[in-house]
Amino acid sequence: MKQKIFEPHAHMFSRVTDDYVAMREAGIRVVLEPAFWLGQPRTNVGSFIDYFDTILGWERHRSEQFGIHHVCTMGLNPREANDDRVNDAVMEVLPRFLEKNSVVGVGEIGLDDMTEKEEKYFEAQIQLAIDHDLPILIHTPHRNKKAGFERCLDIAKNSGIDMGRVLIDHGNEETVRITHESGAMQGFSIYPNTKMTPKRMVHVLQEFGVENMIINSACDWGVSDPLSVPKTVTEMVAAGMKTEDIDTLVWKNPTTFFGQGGRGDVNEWEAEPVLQWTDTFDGNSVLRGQDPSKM
Amino acid sequence: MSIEIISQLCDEHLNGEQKETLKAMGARLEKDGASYLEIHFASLPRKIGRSFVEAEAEAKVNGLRLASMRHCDLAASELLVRNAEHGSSLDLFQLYDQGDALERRMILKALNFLPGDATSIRLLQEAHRTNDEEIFRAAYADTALPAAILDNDDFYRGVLKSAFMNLEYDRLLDVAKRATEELSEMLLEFMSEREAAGRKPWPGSLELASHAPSPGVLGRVAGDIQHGDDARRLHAVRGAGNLIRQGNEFLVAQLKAQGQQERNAQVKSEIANILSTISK
Repeated sequence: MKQKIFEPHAHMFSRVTDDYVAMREAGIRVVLEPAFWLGQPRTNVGSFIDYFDTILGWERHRSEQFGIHHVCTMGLNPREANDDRVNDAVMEVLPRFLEKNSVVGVGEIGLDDMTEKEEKYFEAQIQLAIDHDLPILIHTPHRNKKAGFERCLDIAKNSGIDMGRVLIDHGNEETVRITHESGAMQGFSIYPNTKMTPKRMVHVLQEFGVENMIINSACDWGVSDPLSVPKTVTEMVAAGMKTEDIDTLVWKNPTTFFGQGGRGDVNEWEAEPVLQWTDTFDGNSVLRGQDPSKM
Repeated sequence: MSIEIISQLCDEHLNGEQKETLKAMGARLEKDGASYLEIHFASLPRKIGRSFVEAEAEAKVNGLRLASMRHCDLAASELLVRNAEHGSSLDLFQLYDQGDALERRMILKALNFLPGDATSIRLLQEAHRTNDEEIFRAAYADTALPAAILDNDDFYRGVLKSAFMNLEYDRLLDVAKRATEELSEMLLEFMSEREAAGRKPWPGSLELASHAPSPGVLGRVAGDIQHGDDARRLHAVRGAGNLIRQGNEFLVAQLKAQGQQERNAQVKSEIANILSTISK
């Protein structure tokens, strides 16, 4: 039987339907879509609102059409936290989005360039997570990563949020030594050429174990691989890791972590997703006129 | 407005835990005002539950079929009525605009307990634009509200969209009271348009059209009494009953003949009922 996978970080908004087909085939049952940067700056809050509505609505429908449950996290990403055209206005609309039923966390929030503004909005959004009883997903800087991790952890610790509700993402061999004893969940993005590879990830897991560990593809509009989690599972099997540990890493840890706000229905996630080609979203279908009975 | 009615419904149909949650949300609404609903309205399906109320199929309150309400619809109705009674500044249209399908549904159901004012009309007009069947049904099915508050133009649009969405005729409450010759003509044209495109027309067309028949309805009803599609034949038979009661007695003989050869139990029983009523 294929290992059930909860993919805890995938920007499916930027992916094609073939990805959904391959992901389901590879055992992915649930995908979590964190709100993020779209590759170029947005100039007004309306663009954020429409994007948030899309990942709550059409993208969720699209995912479910391919038999994968879809949840998301909402937040003002650190990169655009620096942009005064949008930052305050996004903060103003966030609370109502955080009460939506498929929102299982606040994220991606955190630091990118490590500016004062990033810190200000990061702290404000941790408070929102506390107020709305949600865990947080922290994006960490791609440059000066070690210092970025340390600063993110300090801010989280000083905020008063339960560290068991903190997922600090995009880690590597260097940062795992910083985060391992923090009580936070540690995320690792398996990404072609940059970030972690499946082999390197297995070495980290062999050294540090699977407790408080999460792996993801972080696939987006760039050169990335939506199957990197199942590929890492294959690598773990080849390395002789226990089935129980693999299940903990790719299913139990993410379902437990993102189920903390009481939003996710673990029973629903456990259930075999059913393809319903006849379903529509506001009358719109992914089939683009094709006959549902022939799919 | 009907706070007593909706409160009593919540009392009867929500369990202890749901009532406690609703009470706590009501207290927050009292304290924080409309802004509380603007943020937390979305949480109602999660906190109260989305299962349907258990009620007799025909049980109605304020012209609304109770069995069409989910538990969260009841809770939303109570909070929105309470909020309106306090003269709150909540922009109901904005709340609808920002909501997902379940949130929109809750607001449309709550309209049955709120004053049928310009906002209610605007929301029904907005719901008419959707192709989401659940939202459209919340506005137009199992409720007499559209028939009660829409003007002719909006009401006709709503009926034609119901036909387009293929809603069951029996779930469009009080539509017959608003039947006109103009609407009848529109329904006949829509039937012809569908048939010309090789598609099935809405089965309820002739039953509704027969309440205020335009030229052509009589002939279509006479023909459809023998139609091969059971649903279409059933509504044509009911339409024939209406036309007979309006003086078109020649249809009696046709109904009797169809009654003798009818194989569908529901249609046969409908014919028998009509004929027994007429003979009295």
